[in-house]
Amino acid sequence: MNKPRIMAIICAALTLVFVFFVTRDDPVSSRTVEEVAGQLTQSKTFDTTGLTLRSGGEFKKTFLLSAGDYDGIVYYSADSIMDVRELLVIRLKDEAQAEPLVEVIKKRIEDKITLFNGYAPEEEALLGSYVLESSRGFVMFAVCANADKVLEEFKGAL
Amino acid sequence: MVFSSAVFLFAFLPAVLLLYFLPLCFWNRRLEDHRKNLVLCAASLIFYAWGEPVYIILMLLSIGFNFNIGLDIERCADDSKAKKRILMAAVVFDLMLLGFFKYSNFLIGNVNSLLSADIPLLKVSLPVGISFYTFQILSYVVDVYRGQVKAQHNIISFAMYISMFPQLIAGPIVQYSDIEKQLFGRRHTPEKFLDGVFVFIRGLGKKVIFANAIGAAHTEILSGGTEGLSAATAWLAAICYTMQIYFDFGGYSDMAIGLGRMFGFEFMQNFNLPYTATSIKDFWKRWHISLSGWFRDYVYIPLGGSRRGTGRTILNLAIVWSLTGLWHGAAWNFVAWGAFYGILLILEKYPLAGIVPKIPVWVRHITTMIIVIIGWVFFSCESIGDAFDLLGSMFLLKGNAALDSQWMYYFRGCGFSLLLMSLSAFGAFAGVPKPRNKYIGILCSVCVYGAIMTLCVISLVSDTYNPFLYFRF
Repeated sequence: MNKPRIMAIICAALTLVFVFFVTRDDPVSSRTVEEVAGQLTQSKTFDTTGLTLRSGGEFKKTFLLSAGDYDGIVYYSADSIMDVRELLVIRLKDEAQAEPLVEVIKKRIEDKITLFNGYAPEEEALLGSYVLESSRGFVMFAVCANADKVLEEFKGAL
Repeated sequence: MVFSSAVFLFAFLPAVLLLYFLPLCFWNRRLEDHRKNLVLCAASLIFYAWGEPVYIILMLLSIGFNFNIGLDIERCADDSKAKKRILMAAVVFDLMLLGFFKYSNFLIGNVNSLLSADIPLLKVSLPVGISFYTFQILSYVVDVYRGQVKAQHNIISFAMYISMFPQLIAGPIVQYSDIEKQLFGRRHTPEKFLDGVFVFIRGLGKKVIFANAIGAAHTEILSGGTEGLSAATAWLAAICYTMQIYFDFGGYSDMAIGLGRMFGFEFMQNFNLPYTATSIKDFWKRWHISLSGWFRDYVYIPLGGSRRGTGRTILNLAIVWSLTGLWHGAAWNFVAWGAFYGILLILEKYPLAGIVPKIPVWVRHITTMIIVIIGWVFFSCESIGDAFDLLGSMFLLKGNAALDSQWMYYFRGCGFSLLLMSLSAFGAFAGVPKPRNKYIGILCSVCVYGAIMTLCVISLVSDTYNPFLYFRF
């Protein structure tokens, strides 16, 4: 066999190995966004009292992202400007959506922290303790008093 | 990394240009060409790795595989059967890679829906630019097989052709035969460089000033869904998207062509005032020319084109347009979009062939524009259901109002932008006379493009809404 052919076969074999490793672990969760978010809210790990479940349009206005771009979204936020609690659970269509989405959420939370800085220290502290997690085809973002527990519950729900 | 980002404009590009134009091997022209190619290749890989640190490995392996396939095909030049086997192996392998990353979850999703199965989706994300660089790779191996080009023996030059950052992410799809002669000995002149800068800024302006603004308007109009939209507002949304996609993708292509020119390359034109088309066939001769050309050269003509009778031509057109739709995305709305154009082109080619030329040009132009706007509805929506929903609003099929105050509100916001964009899209600015004196012409261009660049920088600093629509393909 000639050298280029051997090299081509080696490259093809390495490509297959690469594909295997890229897709091997952490498969996308088969649960729906409603199931995952439901587990967080029904168990009261995330208390939705005083919060409103928002539509895709309201999500779009808040994050400048189209809800239709994702497999599903559940978004809770408060009507009062001073209530900073939020829960956002998104099921991605494609893993590549995770990074830009996380960036948008981070940017928004940073802007919000700046907004509350200096005059609402409790809200600022709550915002500072937010959790943002991307895992198994989902992105979850929560601002609440027990954010760490919400994160744990989210991981278990996937 | 995107062209319309501060890190690209103010760090990456200046650094690459500096390294590229430093005459480190000035005493030997050939060596200097090699050095320039090496700089461009390394910069392209860094550019790609910036956004895809994992999938750079896939691209490198793909480059290694196809580089060697090219050499192997050349080695078997006298053995047509062996040559064909190698080509088939390469085409199948390259298409399987593209298919796996782009269509596997689409396939699983459809199987799950049809059979009520619960096959878990794969954890795969679409490597940026894979649709574009796979097509470039295929053009290379097929052209080597056909004997139209010689196999590339320098892996740096080959890697540079595949990964060249100006057109890596969203085209234009550069066929190897078009660029082979430019890999070595391409000319660099101050005029060419300056022209490249101007074309790049023009593209940046189209993207940042026009596409982003009208894209935000489109998002705002449809932010509450299609429920309760008046027909006029629904049409306004569709027109906004029509302009957004042209200025977004056309802007990106201009940037790619401009950057290519700065580095001494001449890429093919990808858009030629597509919204001035007077038929669907004419539209596709003007829109994404590099993709249409690729499908013509590597799918339609090898299938027999229009040489094997009416039935076969219709079948070939149906295949090409289904593939064109699927190439754009793994979703049924893209298939519908491709089929929509396939059917229209077949109608234009056969039953309407004698009628269309007799229709007044202005009627043909308006009809084409309406069809194109409807086509973009399929393209912009996330599902066929959403597309028909919006079309229902546009054509008063949902019991909605024809006109309402909401339309006036949105039109006030984006009407002027739409007017400017329409004038530009219809070529109104193309006929602006240039000063006769060369130096006054350059001075005028510097002032105009300097102003556009300033506006772009201001927009980039203050605006976060900055997606390129064609990145996801």
